[in-house]
Amino acid sequence: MKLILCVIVLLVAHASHDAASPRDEPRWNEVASNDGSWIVRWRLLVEGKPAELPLARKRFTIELQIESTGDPQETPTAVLVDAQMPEHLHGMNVAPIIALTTGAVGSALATAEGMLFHMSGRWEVDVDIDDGTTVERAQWNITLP
Amino acid sequence: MREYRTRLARVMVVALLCALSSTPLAQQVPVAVPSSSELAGPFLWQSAGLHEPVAVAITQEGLVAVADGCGEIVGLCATDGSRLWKTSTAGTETLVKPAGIAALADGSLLVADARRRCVDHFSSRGEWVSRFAPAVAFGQPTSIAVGSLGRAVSGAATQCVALVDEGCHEIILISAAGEELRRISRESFPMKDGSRALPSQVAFVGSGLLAVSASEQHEIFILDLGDAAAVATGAPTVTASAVSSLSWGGRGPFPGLFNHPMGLAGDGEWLWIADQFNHRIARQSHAAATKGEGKLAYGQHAVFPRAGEGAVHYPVSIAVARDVARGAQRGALAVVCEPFERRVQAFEPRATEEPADLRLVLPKLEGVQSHFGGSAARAGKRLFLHDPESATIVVFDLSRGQPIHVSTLSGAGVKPHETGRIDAMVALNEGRRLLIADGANQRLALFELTAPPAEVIFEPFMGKLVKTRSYARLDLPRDATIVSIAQSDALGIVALCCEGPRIVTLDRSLRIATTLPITAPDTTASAVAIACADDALVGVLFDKPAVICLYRFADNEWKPAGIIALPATVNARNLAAGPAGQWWVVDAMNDSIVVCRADGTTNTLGSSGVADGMFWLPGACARGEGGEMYVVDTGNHRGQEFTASGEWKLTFSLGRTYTRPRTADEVLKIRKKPDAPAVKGATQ
Repeated sequence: MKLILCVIVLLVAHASHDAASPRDEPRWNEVASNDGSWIVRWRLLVEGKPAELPLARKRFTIELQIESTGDPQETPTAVLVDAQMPEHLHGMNVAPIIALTTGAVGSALATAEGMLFHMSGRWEVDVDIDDGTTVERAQWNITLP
Repeated sequence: MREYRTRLARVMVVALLCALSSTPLAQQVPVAVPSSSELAGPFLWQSAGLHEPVAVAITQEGLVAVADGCGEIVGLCATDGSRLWKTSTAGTETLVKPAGIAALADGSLLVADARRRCVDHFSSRGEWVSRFAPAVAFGQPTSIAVGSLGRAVSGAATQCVALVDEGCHEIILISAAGEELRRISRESFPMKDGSRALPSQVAFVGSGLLAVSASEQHEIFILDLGDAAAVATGAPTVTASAVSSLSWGGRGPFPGLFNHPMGLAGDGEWLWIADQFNHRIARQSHAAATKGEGKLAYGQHAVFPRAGEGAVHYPVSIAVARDVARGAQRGALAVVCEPFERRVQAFEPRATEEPADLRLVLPKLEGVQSHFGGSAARAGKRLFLHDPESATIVVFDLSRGQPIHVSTLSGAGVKPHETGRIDAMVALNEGRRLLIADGANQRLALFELTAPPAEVIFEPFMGKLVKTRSYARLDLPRDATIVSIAQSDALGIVALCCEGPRIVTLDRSLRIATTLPITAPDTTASAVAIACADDALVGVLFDKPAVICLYRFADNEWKPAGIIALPATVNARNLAAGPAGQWWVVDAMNDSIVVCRADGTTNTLGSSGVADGMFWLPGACARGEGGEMYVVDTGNHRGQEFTASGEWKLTFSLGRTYTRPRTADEVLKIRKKPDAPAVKGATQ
């Protein structure tokens, strides 16, 4: 009986340890671009480590995975990342450093370092994906209390 | 009676307090601080009745010469603005589009004709003398200025002509004898973001110093043309890189900022700037240490059409002279061109110093304005107009029987979701999407409205950018202009590029594009608009002489399918396809819409004025779902709707719609401008 109880305790402890891992590493968020040509997965990093929202007045990095929904061979040739507060008619006070690397076939990885939301309120993050012909936007909101 | 007693008591209390106080009553009344507008100089006269005054020059002998973009040059008396002479010919040729005018030292005139691609020399009485600089190849000559070249190292100033060629976006320096000296490329106009500005207008502001406005970039440049002797001899050491420049500007209303600066003038001390969308003439320093400083400005209070004397509205050109014969006396004179009001106004620049306690007058906005530009788009229950001043698109919902403003898209800037100069629009997907041609940012931009068309709720963030496509990826010439866009189920999106001209065909994702030339009439006319009829017939409008050329797409090319000639007086601006095979031509100069029916007959809708049913510089029209016509009455800051049979139905703007027709006096009263009907012919 004691042995069974020990096993149960160990199983519960193991399960709770597994459940803690995703909380330490926030999951990737996913958004489709505004004409549906791309799937963009994104997450935030602070000092190189995944971070939770909100991130008011703290420098952070946006990490992006971009995949084409059409031709699987298609990858972006350039990516622009920016953020704005539409209600306040302004953007960030900083210009992020954007790096684009080609990942597996049909996907690209990008980072925008040095992002800073200097005010509370609704921020719209804009990712403009250039395929060499058109530049298509993906966007999402982040609201800081 | 009780009220009077109360007032009397109050007055007595105030008097008692003043008597007890050691401060005199007079000093407690605020002293009026002079405003930047009042100090600039008093109004002298205006000369109305012009068609499209786009450039002006003043001679020392008291002549004010005006280039009218409709094909005339007009001589006015500097004393009172009375007309001395008018001409529309240059030798055996007819003037087509005078765009620049300058006075030589002997009082004769140089006139740049953008369409005839030449510069003509006229006497001070308006008589044609000769073709100026016939050996110089001009693309599209516009602004022209006369000044001295270099720093006059030999003592004698070398007269020089500077001319903006908008065909290649260069400035050409020409000697007084008509020999080309040098071309200044766009590389001399660097912007902070690394891009290059495009020169719009020029003026000499000192010996060898040339001021250049870059309208689309809202920037002013000062070029040092370098050593006079070296330039005059064409020495190989003098190149475009020898031109040093300083610049200032940016888009905004405060002094030192501009909103589409156009014409320039120098009076030997100050630079005068026609700040078009700020409705003012700014006087600023152009010295390196104080560049952009100076708060005095003319006009600034004119935001209403047909505003009275001294109120400047969309100025595009200015000339300033310090010593001009005005009747029996001599004095300073400044003359401003306002094609939007079809007039020029003269001021007497007086103040030279600015007091420290100057009261700054900024462009005034009295409530909601409806500064609609020259394009319109309608699909489903949505109508889209645009505002050039703020580079925004306003969205109207039509589902309730009258246009209701439900959203505003975009705004001025260079980011992908921002716009610079909106040249054309087309509504797609039943009004859920809008494609615009942004000439300043050289791209097409596709927006989507998130709220369903049925919801009539003002939602400022309804629009989002979907995608853009650069003109550079459309097989178009560098700095091309897409002047008009249309769409049909059979053809998709068709965009008209006036260079060529060419038609760009796009699918609705903007990914598949084909650019092909079209055959154009063998005239000086320019392609200005495109429209699609229901049967996949495409009409392209040419402005002057005005014709609609019809095309069908077959065998991978645009094949001519007919020509509709328009009356000789028409100066065409825009085109829409009406019901039953009709073509609607916007005639901006004659303030009317020409309806061309399928049977070959035509009739005219509207006339010049401000009463409902009348127009002032109409910019565009769009067809409603039931065949009704929406007209952008640009010069009256409003839109009007007409039934399919051509009867006035309603007038609308951003904050007002009404269905009872108003007279001109009633309309002007609504505009709250007591001195409004000052321009002759405005109150018809």
